[in-house]
Amino acid sequence: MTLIAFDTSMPTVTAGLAGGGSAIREGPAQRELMPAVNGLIGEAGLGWRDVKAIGVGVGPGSFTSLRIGVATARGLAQAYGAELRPLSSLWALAQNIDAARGLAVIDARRGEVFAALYEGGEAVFGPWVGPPEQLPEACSGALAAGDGSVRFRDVLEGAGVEIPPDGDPVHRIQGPALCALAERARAVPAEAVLPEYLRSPDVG
Amino acid sequence: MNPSLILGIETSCDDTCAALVTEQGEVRSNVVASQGLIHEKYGGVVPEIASRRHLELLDAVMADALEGAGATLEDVDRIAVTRGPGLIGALLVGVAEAKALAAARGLPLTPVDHLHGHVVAGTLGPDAVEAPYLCLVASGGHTFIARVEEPSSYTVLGSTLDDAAGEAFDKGARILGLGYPGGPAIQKAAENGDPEAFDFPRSYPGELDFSFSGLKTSLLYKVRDGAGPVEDLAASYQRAIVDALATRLGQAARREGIDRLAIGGGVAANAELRERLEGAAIPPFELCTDNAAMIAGAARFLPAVEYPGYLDLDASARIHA
Ligand SMILES: Nc1ncnc2c1ncn2[C@@H]1O[C@H](COP(=O)(O)OP(=O)(O)O)[C@@H](O)[C@H]1O
Repeated sequence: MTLIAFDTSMPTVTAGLAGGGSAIREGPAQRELMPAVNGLIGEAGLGWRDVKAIGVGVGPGSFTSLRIGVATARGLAQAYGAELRPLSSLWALAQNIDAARGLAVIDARRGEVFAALYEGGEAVFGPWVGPPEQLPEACSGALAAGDGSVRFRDVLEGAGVEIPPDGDPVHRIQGPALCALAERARAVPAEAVLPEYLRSPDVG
Repeated sequence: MNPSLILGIETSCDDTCAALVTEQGEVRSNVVASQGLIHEKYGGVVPEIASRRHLELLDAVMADALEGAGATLEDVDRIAVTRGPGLIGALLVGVAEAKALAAARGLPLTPVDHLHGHVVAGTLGPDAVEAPYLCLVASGGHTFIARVEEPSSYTVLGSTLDDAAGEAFDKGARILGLGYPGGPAIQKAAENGDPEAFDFPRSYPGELDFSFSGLKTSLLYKVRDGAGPVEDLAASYQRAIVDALATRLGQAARREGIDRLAIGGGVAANAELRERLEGAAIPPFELCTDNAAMIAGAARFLPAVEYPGYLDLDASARIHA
């Protein structure tokens, strides 16, 4: 079954075609996402009619960017009735971590992070949003991944979290890992596919 | 068998809209999910709330539009989407979904300037206005006069320097304690009032521009001073707004030598304005307020970007598309 998956929770766009190519592009989702996914389909000699399932990262992450991801997934799914499979962006990020305890950390701006601590394939803390200083002690000794861990390296390392070097690929969601998650994920009705914002709207 | 249909999508502010329009300008369906009341308690549109609601509503609104037109995606030959101006996060929901749907189906896509949609709304339906004409667009967010030589574009001859006319109605209604939306509330109160009871200032800046902020301040002072009754205040206040709009449109018509007139935007619903501008083309109300039929309608006059030329299309909060 042809499956495509993508994630727009971070300032990079990740896309992958199950059993095919994958792409990571820097830049805003509105400019990078459609060229990336359309390219993967084209390079594989496929058409959108062939795509039967679409996995989409629903965050947490940048609100606007997540909405672009979800709206794109819905538009693509509507075209020929492909099914939609929402994926946790933190869990997708955690796939990169080769350790008993993995801490996925996405920069939430305003001095905060979206984070979740995984152990044995389950979230033992989070998904959560808050200042990195307030991450629980349980995170000490965990191996981290994500732009939030790079951004707040000092705070997190001070709390005993281990963080790979800045440019390490573990800090970005990877296409093949995203596809693997999507292959195991359940399909849900389109209207139930919505971003996991974790924050209330700012009514300023 | 359906003729070529254009699917229009509009999410620039607080209404989630989809519509199907034929290349000939026949409106087959025009669906609007209004979020107005959600935002009312905050005293204005909250961009993040509007964007979230668009995403929640858009699929259902599009499905309704197709169903209402008795059509399926198979009948859609082109997609038109508002790319600006408006709230950037809100616009991006519509643009992202439109691009994805168009690309997956290999359809051409036409990005549309929201204001262009208002200006050419009068070209839809059985009583279509024909270019050249002048159009007064007066809504909650915009007030301007445009000259339309060909419906593929427009030139702005004058616009408001501060508040929009609809905003003047809304703010005036709040000052008078008449509720929301202000336009209909003021119109209703004005029915039993004397439009000459109070002398509100009319402001005519520049050659064809508008200004409504002084009017609002003047109302505020009168209310503070205990003036009344509210019906007389409402009637006089409405008269001042309508005067400014109608006078400017008349001046524009004389200066440009064009006597075919049209109006658009939510304020076009105003009964006194309609009376004053008798003879002007006034589209049905649902084509005056924000809607997607006017977006699909404008697309008829614009080039379509063929697949895959629009994959990296971005929304734009400010500039005209
Ligand atoms: N009968 C009326 N008289 C005057 N103004 C009206 C009337 N009906 C609606 N309006 C005004 O129209 C505006 C809404 O129009 P709309 O085109 O939806 O504007 P926007 O989307 O820019 O807010 C509001 O400001 C409202 O008060």
